[in-house]
Amino acid sequence: MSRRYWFFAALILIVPAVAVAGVSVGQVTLPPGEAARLLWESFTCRGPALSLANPPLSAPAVLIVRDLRLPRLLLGFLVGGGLAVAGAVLQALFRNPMADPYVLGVSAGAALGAAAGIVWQVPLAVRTGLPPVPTLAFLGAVGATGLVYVLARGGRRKERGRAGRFDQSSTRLLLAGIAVSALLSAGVSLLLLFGTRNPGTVVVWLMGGLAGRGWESVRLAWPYLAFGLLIVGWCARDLNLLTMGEETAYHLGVDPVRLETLVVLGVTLITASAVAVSGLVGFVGLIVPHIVRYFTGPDHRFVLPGAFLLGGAFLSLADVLSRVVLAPSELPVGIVTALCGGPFFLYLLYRSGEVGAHG
Amino acid sequence: MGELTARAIHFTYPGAAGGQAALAGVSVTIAPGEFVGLIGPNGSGKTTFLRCLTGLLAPQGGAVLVDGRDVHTWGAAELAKRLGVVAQGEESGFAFTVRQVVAMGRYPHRRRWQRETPADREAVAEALQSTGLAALAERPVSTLSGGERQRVVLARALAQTPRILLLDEVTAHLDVGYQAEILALLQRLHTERRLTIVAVLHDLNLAARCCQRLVLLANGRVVATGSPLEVLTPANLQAAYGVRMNVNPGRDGQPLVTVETPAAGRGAAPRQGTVHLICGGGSGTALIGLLTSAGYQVSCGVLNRGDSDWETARLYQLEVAEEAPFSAIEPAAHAVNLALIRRAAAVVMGDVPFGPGNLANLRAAREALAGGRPVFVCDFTPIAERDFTGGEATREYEQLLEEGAVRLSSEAEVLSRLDGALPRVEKERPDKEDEA
Repeated sequence: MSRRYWFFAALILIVPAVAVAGVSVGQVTLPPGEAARLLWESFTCRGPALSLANPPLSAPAVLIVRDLRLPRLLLGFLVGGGLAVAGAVLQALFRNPMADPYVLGVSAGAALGAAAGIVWQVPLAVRTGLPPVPTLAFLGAVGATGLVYVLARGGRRKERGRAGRFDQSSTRLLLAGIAVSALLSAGVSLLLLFGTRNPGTVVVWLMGGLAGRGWESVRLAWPYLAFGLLIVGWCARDLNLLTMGEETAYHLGVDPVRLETLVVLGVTLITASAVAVSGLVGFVGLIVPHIVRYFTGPDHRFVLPGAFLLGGAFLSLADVLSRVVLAPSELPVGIVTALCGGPFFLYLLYRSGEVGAHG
Repeated sequence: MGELTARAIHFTYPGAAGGQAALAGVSVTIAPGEFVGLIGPNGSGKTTFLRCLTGLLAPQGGAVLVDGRDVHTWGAAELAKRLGVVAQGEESGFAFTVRQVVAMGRYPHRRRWQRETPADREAVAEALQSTGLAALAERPVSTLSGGERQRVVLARALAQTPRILLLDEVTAHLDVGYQAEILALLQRLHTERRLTIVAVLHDLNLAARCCQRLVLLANGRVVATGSPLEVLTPANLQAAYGVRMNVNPGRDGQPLVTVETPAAGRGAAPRQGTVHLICGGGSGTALIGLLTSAGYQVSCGVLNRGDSDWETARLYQLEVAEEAPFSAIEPAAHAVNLALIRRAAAVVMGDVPFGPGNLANLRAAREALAGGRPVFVCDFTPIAERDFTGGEATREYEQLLEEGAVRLSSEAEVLSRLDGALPRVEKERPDKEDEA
């Protein structure tokens, strides 16, 4: 109980601190005070920070904040928070601590879409004004999960009627996800081998990163991400019952099939939009939920907001580090999350028997 | 509220070998406040039937009605308010505390963003209290023992405050102490809250002790339904389980079932001839069990209907010369008794108290002796103490002994003396193990 309160209290301090760091650190370093002021002003919509009319700061600094750091900070927070929430939800859905946001085929679908966009330079931008790579990645991710869902659910329904509706349905989802992922990954490999003379661009995209993403990416991702978050947030209480198993959830008054459909829809929207704008950022969605549960306990009404805040802060911080460690060049943020998250998680695993037992 | 009806349920698992139906037309009506036990061998369909009752399985034929409405047309939450289910072997890797898990039982009663109401808290506290979990409320469920976890699941179902409780082998894997504890709790819930309880039970003796009514299933059909006394007969059990079972009345008057195994003793082999037992007033109950399990065919007489020996004889489906309740033995019943004695190879007389009404039984024993049958007399209590005829019974009794009846002074003697008189049927008994 008290552990939970301390955790959220700490997050209230950590999140603004990370935001200040995200605005101040980079090739041009701003003093933290200035960064905090600019952040505050832009968040309270008082405008001067964004209007180029603020005397104490030079115009280039304001431009950097407005056009580069602020959108990147926001995107990092949304993507990190979204992935952590998606991971927490899928771990509950599958009652499996190994589940991450990509188990339903999102990663492979997005990778295939992005690779196709990069390799073939689809003239989507010309026709619709949408950026081709994120759009195709999003469509690939949604398509792949849709396929997984139909394969896991469709064939069974005809044969069994209502009888089979709780019988291992989440296991079937998991297996279909693995199979579809393998299939689509083969497609990505084929594209890399034979489709392009320059596979490097695709590989870097696959590593995941926020470098060079601006307001365009935020605008593209946030509506779907927010909608997905709303859906899974709505289901937070029902997810608690689902962790007891589908049959028990049914006995307690939850319709597990409807819940699973809703949850898969929400998670797909979140993950697909996150992947579309930032590539495959690993580890956030797997590890952050475990760390959060360690502090909040297993109740999803606390796990989900905790995961969103910690996941967002974690990815934003990793992004800051990715800009700093090899300056002036940048590391893909996916590498940083894995390098930081892995050891920290192993430490927790070593220290506490509770971690990993979903706790 | 609390009524449960199953009408002609047909259910076949998809992919079952040869389309073998798991349930082939099972109809059971359970009245509000009834405590019904579902019994039957493995694979008889009792768990499948329970899962049909909960709505988890949708039968291909027939319907399940909960409070008069098809179980599948109830919304999940509305159903959960009426029907609590306790399944076995629930496992969750998430570290919820006992209180959190039990509070999940309030889910169907609460709207999405509603805070816990006093009614919720009270229901949870009461469920924890009645299952004896109050002291463990803040412990993570994963740290509890199997029996405690089973009680958590039961407490959660109670927190739902349902009118109907369905239980699937809740006592399986629990030691005897926990079994008794959980069944005592169920009985208390049944009497205090008038809950309708349907329980799948493995242990026939526990089922007989806690259920008002039993439904015996075998091969997806109802073999028998009724009171434990009516259902737990050797014939029904043989039909359902394919094994010979002994049924004796227990101390509490409920049937006590034991399985006859070949190792259960030399007595299991069939014996030559029938032993006729003259008894009454409870003197024959132990003897019937003793003689039957030793492999003898037993007939009884003359017994008044309703007499405890008569109940036992009926349980064993013995041939009985019977008389109306609380009446003196009439010539007709006496004649039947003599006919049974003529068919028997020996006669055993129990430690019977004699009054004017059953003096005829003493005379029947003398006629048996006259007809050349060996008569064994249980003389555990001095005849003077059980003579309520003013001396006449004592006179007849002494004449009986004079005419050659064998006096037995303990139950142990019964079998050993009979053994000499009636040899076993040797060839029907595979004796390999003994020889080895």
